[in-house]
Amino acid sequence: MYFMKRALKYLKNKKGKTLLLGFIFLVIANFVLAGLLVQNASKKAQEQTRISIGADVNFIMNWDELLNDMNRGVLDRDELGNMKGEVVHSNILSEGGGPTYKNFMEIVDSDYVESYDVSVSFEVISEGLRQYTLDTNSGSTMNGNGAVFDVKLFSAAEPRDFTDGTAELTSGRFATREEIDSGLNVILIEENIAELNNLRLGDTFSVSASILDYQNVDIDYEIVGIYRTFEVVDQRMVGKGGDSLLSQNRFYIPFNALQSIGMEKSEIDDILVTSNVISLKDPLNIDAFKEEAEQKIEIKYGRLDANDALYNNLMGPIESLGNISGILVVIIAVAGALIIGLITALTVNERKEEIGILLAVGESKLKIVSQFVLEVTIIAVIAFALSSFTGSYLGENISKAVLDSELLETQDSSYDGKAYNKGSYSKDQKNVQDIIAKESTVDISLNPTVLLQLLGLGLSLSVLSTVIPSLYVMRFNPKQILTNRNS
Amino acid sequence: MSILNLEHVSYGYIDGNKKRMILSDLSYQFERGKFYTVLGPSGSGKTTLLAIAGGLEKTQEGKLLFDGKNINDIGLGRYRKKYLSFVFQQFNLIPYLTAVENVVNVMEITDNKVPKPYKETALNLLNQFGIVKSKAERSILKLSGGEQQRVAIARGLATNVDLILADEPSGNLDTATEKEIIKIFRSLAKDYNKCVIVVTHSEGVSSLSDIQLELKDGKLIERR
Ligand SMILES: Nc1ncnc2c1ncn2[C@@H]1O[C@H](COP(=O)(O)OP(=O)(O)OP(=O)(O)O)[C@@H](O)[C@H]1O
Ligand SMILES: [Mg+2]
Repeated sequence: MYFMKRALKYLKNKKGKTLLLGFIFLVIANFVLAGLLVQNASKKAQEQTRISIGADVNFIMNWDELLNDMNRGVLDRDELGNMKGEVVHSNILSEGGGPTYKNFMEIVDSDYVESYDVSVSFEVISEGLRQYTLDTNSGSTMNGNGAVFDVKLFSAAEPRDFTDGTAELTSGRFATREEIDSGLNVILIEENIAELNNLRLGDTFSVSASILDYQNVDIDYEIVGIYRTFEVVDQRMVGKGGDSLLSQNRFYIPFNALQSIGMEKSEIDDILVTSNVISLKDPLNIDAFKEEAEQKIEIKYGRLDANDALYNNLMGPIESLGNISGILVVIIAVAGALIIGLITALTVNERKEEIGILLAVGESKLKIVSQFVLEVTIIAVIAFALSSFTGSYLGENISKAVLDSELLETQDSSYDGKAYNKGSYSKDQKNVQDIIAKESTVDISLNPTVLLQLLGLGLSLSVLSTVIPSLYVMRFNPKQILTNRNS
Repeated sequence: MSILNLEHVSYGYIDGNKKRMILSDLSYQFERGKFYTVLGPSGSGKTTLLAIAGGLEKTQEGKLLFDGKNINDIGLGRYRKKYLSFVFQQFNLIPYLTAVENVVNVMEITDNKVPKPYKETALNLLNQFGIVKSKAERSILKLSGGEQQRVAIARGLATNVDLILADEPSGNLDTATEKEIIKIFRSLAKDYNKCVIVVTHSEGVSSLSDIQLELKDGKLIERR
């Protein structure tokens, strides 16, 4: 192992060359490190933004595709099925990968999914019940033959409105999984309705439903839970649409209760469920989840939207910054390898005597090459280690400057509202301000990953740059040591 | 038994489109305890002969036996490493190592049975050749030509090998130093029972050897 000692002695003896190489390595290392840090920062910013935007995905209609096909005549409007009414179902949409109940359930059957909910609303009429109303003077308005209520179907064990705090269960329970799956007639009602109508847990009452072209169906529901709503509905909406829009006048019924209204299983499958949410376990899995879904069904008339517009709006510039710095790192590394390779290649010529002597005394070519590589590696490692002090300072400033300026630009453009998804769950969307605030706290400092990347680059640089000298050694004819010198 | 036995060795260079033979059907047996010199005009092939004898070059025809073993069977690298040492006209030593480090370096590489610690053994050896400790720990660039050659010879001995090959080892030295070096070579043969083969242009050097050889028409001829 004396070749290691020789390497050290060489470096010590050839201070000029050592310092020159060290300086070049230091410059390269600083650029590389700065590039890596910027790349890292942008990657982190992307992840952070993903997390801030949330792990929610909406399965929505792809109107562009649908209208496109209609215009081209591929799709007949009549074939679409009944697109009117409150509960819409369409087999064509189902087969075209649109957001129908069947497709939705297929997509959410995934390891990425933490929870999901779909909700379908329609109106029912109850003759016996009194409606809640804002106008306390007139009391409830009887609409001729009964009060109108809004029904919200849900498929999750705990409906989304309850998980996100729009409503709160005050007594009783939610529907069990069995009740949801079998479509038993259980119902959740608002506490005001309960009070107005003197209803308690366990009571049953009858409503009359009329969806699509079905006959009016009277169904008895058993109250299993009473909730309180926190949702405030715009007065003007209520003025136009009637009191049934008030959140107090809402019943929560399990999705499959549609069967008891008279829908076939196949019809339920084809119901459009545009108001839905899929919560993933990890926001960073969104792309993987989308890919998985695309593999299960061809999502043509539908689209999985994870606030992509907002994300892209925020992340577009940062993403390209990351890409550019990645390319820069490669360019610098290659250029560096060339420069250092050239220097070592030039010095190997003046070392051919040494190579000859070593070969003549029986040193193996491999050890001679190892010595050369080691010499460069030692310099590289020291330089790269030094750069972790200077480079981190550099990178931090660059990244901060860039991230700040990019964010200032996106701040304005993302307020036009288009970036927001307009599903019924839009109240879940985080404030852009929030996201930006979180994002600027992205940590740009050195971390083990960057250090490892740096080390790996330094090592491969030194090996790369000694390729030419090594080839020279490998092809060296030891007799040269005798002949060149005596002639 | 002869230490080095050249049997029907031939070697030539391709010159243009025909082959020019430098050594042709050369046979000779070198013995331990003898100091040989090889004379011959420039271009006669002395260096080529030494390169072949030292395993730096392969024979094209014929074979080389070291202690009866074909050196191709030993392996040229191993042969150079374990059984012989070279002394060149110049550039014998690695410039960024001190004299003693140069000696230790070959001890480490050769890994023959040499008393440890290597550094001490090396210093003693150098001392025998008149290189005192203060000089031994100097960069070899700060030693005179004669001192450098003595270090090179000491290095040759450090590995406990029996065959020493030298190509014009005194070519660059003044007469006094040359005499001193030759004296050392003689002593290596006489006192240490080595086989020493020295290529030289100098009749003076040659006259001090046990056996004077001349390379002529690709063959070795004994003068005496
Ligand atoms: N690689 C080579 N290719 C072709 N010819 C060569 C090569 N090396 C040596 N020669 C030729 O072989 C002949 C012998 O060369 P060598 O070096 O052995 O001579 P030498 O006796 O040592 O000469 P000198 O006394 O000048 O050192 C010379 O004519 C030389 O030009
Ligand atoms: Mg010669």
